[in-house]
Formats: sequence, structure tokens, C-alpha cells
Amino acid sequence: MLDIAIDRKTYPDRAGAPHLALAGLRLEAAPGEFVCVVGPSGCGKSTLLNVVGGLDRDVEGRVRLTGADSAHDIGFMFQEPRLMPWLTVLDNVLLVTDASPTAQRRARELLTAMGLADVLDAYPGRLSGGMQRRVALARAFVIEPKLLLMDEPFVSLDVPTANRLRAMLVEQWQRSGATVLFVTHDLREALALADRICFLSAAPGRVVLELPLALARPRAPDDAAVQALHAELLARHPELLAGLTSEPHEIQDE
Amino acid sequence: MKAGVDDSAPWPLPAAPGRRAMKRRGPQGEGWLRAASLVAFLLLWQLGAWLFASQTLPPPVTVFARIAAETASLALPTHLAVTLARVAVAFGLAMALGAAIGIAMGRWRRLDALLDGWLVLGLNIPALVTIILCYVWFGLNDAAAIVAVALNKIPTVVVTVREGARAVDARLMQVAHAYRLPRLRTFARVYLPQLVPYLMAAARSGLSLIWKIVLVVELLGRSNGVGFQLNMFFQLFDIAGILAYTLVFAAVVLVVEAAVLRPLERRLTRWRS
Repeated sequence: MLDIAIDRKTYPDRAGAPHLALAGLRLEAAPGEFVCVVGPSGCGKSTLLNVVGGLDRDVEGRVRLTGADSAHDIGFMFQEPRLMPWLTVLDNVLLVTDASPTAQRRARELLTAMGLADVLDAYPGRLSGGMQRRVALARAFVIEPKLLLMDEPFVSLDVPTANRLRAMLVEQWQRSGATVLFVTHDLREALALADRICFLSAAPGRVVLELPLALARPRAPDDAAVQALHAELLARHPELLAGLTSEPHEIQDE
Repeated sequence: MKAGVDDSAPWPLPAAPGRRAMKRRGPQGEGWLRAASLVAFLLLWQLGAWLFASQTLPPPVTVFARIAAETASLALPTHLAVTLARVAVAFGLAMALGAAIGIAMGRWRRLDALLDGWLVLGLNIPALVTIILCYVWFGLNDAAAIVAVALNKIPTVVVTVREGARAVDARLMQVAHAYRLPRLRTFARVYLPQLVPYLMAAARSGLSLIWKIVLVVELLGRSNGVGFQLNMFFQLFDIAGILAYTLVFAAVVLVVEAAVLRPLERRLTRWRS
């Protein structure tokens, strides 16, 4: 169970003045749930992940992850693959685990499942952007995370590559039972992936709408059902992607 | 003042060696060129010796005979070994301390501000002054000699490594942080590899500088080593002896560069090709 309650999160902007990024943000996720966080750019989505992932501890509020032994159970996938260019594909994945034979085997299995068996000993610089992201995905799952944080991991990829990676993500997620917090600004992507979508307001970010999804998997962003839901949602809340709902009373505030 | 020092830094840009290595094509063809240039050098030398027919420029044959004689009497190997040992210790000391200080100064801005003035001072003190002061303060012994050499080299290592530490990719460090990697693994596999080009640049320029300073140190205050021998030959006006030691010394430098530094660098930057 993931329980996030951030009262205030500020960071200094370029001029050094404090910028209020998040305020009064409440978010919960059940074990194994796939939650997408959608919001306008600059609403503090990345900041939220950094706080939850422990990269940023300067915050008023709390993040609780029950059921996890420690913070070691958190996987993180960034906007860029962020692989170590001096380590081979296999070593990049092994970097975040211990050197046990079990971990070795798991790393090889994951990479093989993602179609990377032929490039285990290649350096990331020789791989395409899509392959690098697959390595980063394998690195995130090799630690068998209780919680996986993903910060727009599939941006700047062509559509088929991104769809393939999403399918791989869903497959690994279903196999691992991890809770996923997936940040994106792309509503169709969120509709294709999530069990539930949390919409954030413009900065300072807070949850303005929660939308549980009951669409069957597998789904893709261009499926008819996803498209229909997308259209219906935007008809109901035309300003949703700017962080505004048309019915203020829907805001969940307990 | 700080910017001025950084800009006028005489050491090679870290990116240069790697790029050069990539361009190096057809090693066999280049091997011939290298050999030809060596032969041309010897021919010119021989020609000069003929033309001037002077005591002050003995022909190559005389010098090589001298190398053989000095080697047979074990004088040359002994003095060379002593000098090499001093170079190795001073080099190791300068690299270790310089890298540690450079990393710390690149990491903590306060420390950088605190030590920057000392660094400028260290960069600009003439080697001779450090050597004399070390001998005066610590006595005419090997420890003083090595400290003097290391002190001359440390500031340039610091400046180069500090540049590297400032250029460390925060996004990769975040990966280490996000996955809660142990400190030692973070340092060895995420942080240090980013400094490799800078450390290699410091090592290359360091070796050539340290060779030269060690000879001066030996000349001024040691009773063995190549520098000591050169001083003796100078007083005896023994040019063949000076050239014999110089040649062997230069050959050792070339071998260390070709057999240790270059393969090491190639290994460490394999991922770039």
C-alpha cells in the first residue's frame, strides 16, 4: 500500500525564490495497482516522483510504503534511459542488484524476454533509443520492486516502438505484482496503461480528479475503446489537461 | 584570477587522447613511419658528428658503446632503477592526493573557494623553489626528494580532476541514488568512470613532468640516480656519458607510455569505439 500525503513542496527557481510545486497532494495506491498521474507540464509531476523515490527529501509531508522491507524495493525509470555508457547491457542491469547467481539469472531472463539476448555484452552507445529503454526497463524490474516509479519513460519514441515498450511494461508488471506510479502528460498513454488515473492541477499540483478504468487488457492508445473514452472525458472536462475540472465538487478531499 | 588559471591550463584537453586513438588507423603503416623517423634521427646525428668532428658531439656508435659499458658495469641499471623508483612513488603520491583533493574541490564549492588561492600559489611556485625548501626543511633525504616532486605535480592534477568532478553527470548519480546503490559501488562504477578521461590526461602530463623534476631533485641533493650521474658527467665534461643516460632514460619513458599508459587508456575507453 502506497500512501502519499504532501502538504507543501517548494524548490528554489532560477532566481532563487521558492517555487511552490506541490500543495495538499493526497494519493493512495493499492498493492499491484497501476496508477497513472496526468497533469499539465510544470505541475510538479517529476517533483512528485522524486519525493516518492527519496531523491528529494526536502518536503513537508510523508510517503509511506507498507509491505516493502525497505527503500531498496523501489525501481525508478527516468525520462531518458540513463544507462552507464561504460557498462555493458548486462552489467547495467546487474549494477542495481547484488552479484548472486539468482540475480544474474533473473537479469538474463529479463533481457531475453525483452529481446535483448543478442546484445548482452554490447555497450549502450551502440543501441537504438528503444533498445536502451528496454534495458532501463529490465534494470527497473530486476530488483523485483514493490513500487515502480516511471517519469514519462516513453517520450520521444516513435509510435510502434513506444507501443511495444508499453506492452512489455504491462507484461512485466502483471508478472511482478509491483505497484506502478506512472507519470505522463499523454492522456491516451495513461488510458492505455492505467487501472486508475489521477489528474493533477497546474502548479502547485494536487489531485483534482481520480478516474478508475475498467477497460480490458491488452489495450493500445489507438484502440477504439480508448479513443472513445478519451473523447468522452475531454467532452466532459474540456480543460482537464490544463488541470481544471468542470465540476469542482468532484475533487476528492477527505 | 580563477578563470585565468583555468583558461591558461597547459595540460591537454581530456577528450583529445580518445579522439586521437580513434583516428589511428593502419598501425602497421604507421609503424614503418615511426621506424623511419628513428633512423633519420640517427643519420642526422651521425652527420652532425662527422661535420663538427668535436668532443662535444660524439657519434651514435660511441654513445651506444658507452651504454653497453655502463650496463655491463651495472652502474646504469642501478642508477636508473633508483630514479624509476623515485618517479613511481612520487607519481603515485601526486596522483592519489591530487585526485582526492580535486574530487573534493569539484564536489564542495566552499572547499573550492577555500583552497583555490593555495592552488594558484602551488601552480606558480617554481619547481626549484619547492625542491630547495624541501631539502632545507626535511634534510637531504629521499623523503624530502619525493615530497618535493609530488608537491610540484599535485596542483596540476587537482586542476584537471576538479574539472572532471565539476562535469559529473548529476542524472547518472540520481540513478545510483534512486536504486540505493552502496557508496563504494556508486563511486567505483558510476562516479569514477566519469573521471577517467581527466585522470588519464593528468597521468600523461604528470609522468612527463615528474621525470624532469626527479632529475633536478637528484642533481641538487641525492648521491645516486640518473640526475646525480648527469651532474657528475657534466663536471667531467663527459658528453658521451650524458647522452648514453639520456637515451636510455628516454627509451624507458617511451616504453612506459606505449606499454602501460596507452593500453590502459584503450581498455578504459573501449566502450566509446
